[in-house]
Amino acid sequence: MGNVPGKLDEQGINTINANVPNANTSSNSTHTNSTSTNSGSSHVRNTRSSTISSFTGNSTRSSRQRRATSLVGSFINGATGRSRSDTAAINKNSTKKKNPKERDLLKEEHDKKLVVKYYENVDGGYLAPYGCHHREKLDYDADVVRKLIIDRKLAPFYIPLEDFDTNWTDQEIIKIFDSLTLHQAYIQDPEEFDDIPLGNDIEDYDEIISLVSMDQSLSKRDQKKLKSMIFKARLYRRRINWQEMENEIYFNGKLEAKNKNLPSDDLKLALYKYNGMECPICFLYFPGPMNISRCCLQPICTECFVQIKRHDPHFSHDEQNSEQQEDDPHLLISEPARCPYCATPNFGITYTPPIDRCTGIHGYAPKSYVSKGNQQGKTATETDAEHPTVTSDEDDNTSPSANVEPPSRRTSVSANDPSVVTSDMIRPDWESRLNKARLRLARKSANATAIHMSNRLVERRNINNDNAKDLEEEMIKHAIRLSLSDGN
Amino acid sequence: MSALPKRIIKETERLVSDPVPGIQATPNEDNLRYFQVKMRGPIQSPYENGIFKLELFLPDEYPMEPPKVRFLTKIYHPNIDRLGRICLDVLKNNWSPALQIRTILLSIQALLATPNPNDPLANDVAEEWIKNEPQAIKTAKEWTKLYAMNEVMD
Ligand SMILES: [Zn+2]
Ligand SMILES: [Zn+2]
Repeated sequence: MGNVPGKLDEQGINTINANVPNANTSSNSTHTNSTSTNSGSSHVRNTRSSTISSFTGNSTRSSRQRRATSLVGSFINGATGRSRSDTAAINKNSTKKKNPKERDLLKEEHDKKLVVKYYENVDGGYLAPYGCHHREKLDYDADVVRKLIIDRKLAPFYIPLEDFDTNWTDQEIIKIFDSLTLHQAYIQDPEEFDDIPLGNDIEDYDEIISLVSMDQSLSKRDQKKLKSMIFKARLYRRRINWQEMENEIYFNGKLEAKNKNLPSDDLKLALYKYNGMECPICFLYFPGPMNISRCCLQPICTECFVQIKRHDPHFSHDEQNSEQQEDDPHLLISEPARCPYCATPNFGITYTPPIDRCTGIHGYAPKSYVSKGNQQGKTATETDAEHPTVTSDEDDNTSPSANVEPPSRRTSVSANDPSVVTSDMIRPDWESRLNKARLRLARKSANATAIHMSNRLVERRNINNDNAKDLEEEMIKHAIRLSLSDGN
Repeated sequence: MSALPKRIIKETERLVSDPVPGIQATPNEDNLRYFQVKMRGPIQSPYENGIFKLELFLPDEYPMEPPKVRFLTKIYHPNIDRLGRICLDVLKNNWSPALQIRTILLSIQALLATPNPNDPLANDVAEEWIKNEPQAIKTAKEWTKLYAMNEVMD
């Protein structure tokens, strides 16, 4: 496995860059959106206009019209008994819905990116989380986070210590480091997957799924639920396997004395002895420097930072009482995450990378790290010399102290500051999630209205033809209103 | 049952070694995410001299999700319903992972001292509180005597 680490600098980076072709552009647009959505009514209006664009994609007006006419059609057809399938077809067109297979594949891809690989390291940390928190909330954009870590805009995921004792000797610290695993131990059989038929191999997945589909004792909905649980449970098991494979690669790497991608003893000490601190949220001990909240300058580890996100779309508190408004998709809102320490909206952090510890991707080999005090005999082999951004170890004429902390920020900075990484930046899909929730609600109320109206139509038809006509007109008007309000 | 995160272990240790005055939180031996809580009613409130039992549970997602807390002792309060559920913003939308068991319990104790009938959970109690506050306070005192005088702090 000796050549795995070497490959990374070319391959790893290229795939990362390919995956996020314009991470900067997307984060900028998130900025403008979230700042303009800070207060009250302007919030609703702003997100409304963005709703249009995401509903339609290209030409707003024409597709809105298309939507209106087809909705009218479906309402009218509803009266003659064809409504439901037609509405379903329309809904399918209006949101490019991913098919279940695609969705499963995306989830799988995502989980693969959460595997910690020792040769993907930055300044002594890694690109994937250690797993301090419950895995449910690791739904951040892994490509964005990986890139931010490589760009040194976000602290890497370090392996935390449960405790740290200042009395530990260097030898003890090195020994503890060497016993650390890349990822927290997984629970082999989580309770939530009890009684889920798993099958044995990846190949028989389709077979299990088709068995579920044929099970007449289950309703369609229960079948769907069971299928998704089977998928989840199997993915979880595979995730354990993927991590175990990487653990083994790490273990084998440690057996090679000359492995350049493993940290030198000096690096281990630099990480944990001189720069460590406890994160105020998970209470675990991490190497510094930590991310600092943009508003109140409090430290937060990356493990905790990626957990903080917007609440699911909900109705704003004031409007919650009236039942009618519960139907209005535009009153569904999603507010930017708040700072956990001071509750300032639009949570974000800044990160100043360590000055003398630029190792791993876009830096020099972790093995060659020598602390300032030991630097006389240093022969740092630059693995990536063509990167001018590397704050290298040239200025070794400074203090002899083991480590130099980068100057830390003394004032708060705005969420738009280019140095800030906001919670929205690592979950750029928050807006499409909101739109989806709105669309779901719109569909639900459209269906309810259609059913209600066609019932009335059938009733009335038996009595009076004029009345039926009135009602038909009313329905068309309603349909137009509904579809227009979808886009406004 | 997932492994107990360090944060929960450390919080529990600190709760035991440095308890909050008037609040006692004891983890269940079989489930260290489940706490039995005793809370003294704040002085000069209708709950004065009462000792209220609560249960507190830390879900798997804690501290990213708030603890679940419920009164076990019957209590007459506009923000606490018949099942003991508590209407408190920090237990819902305003939860922050920087808050702790300790701070949450202190917030609940503060809620006892300052009932807020305008954001009610128990509608009938809140109504009474707005319509006839002296009567409501009298009832709260009576309930305290009836239901919250059987416990002692250890
Ligand atoms: Zn943390
Ligand atoms: Zn803050």
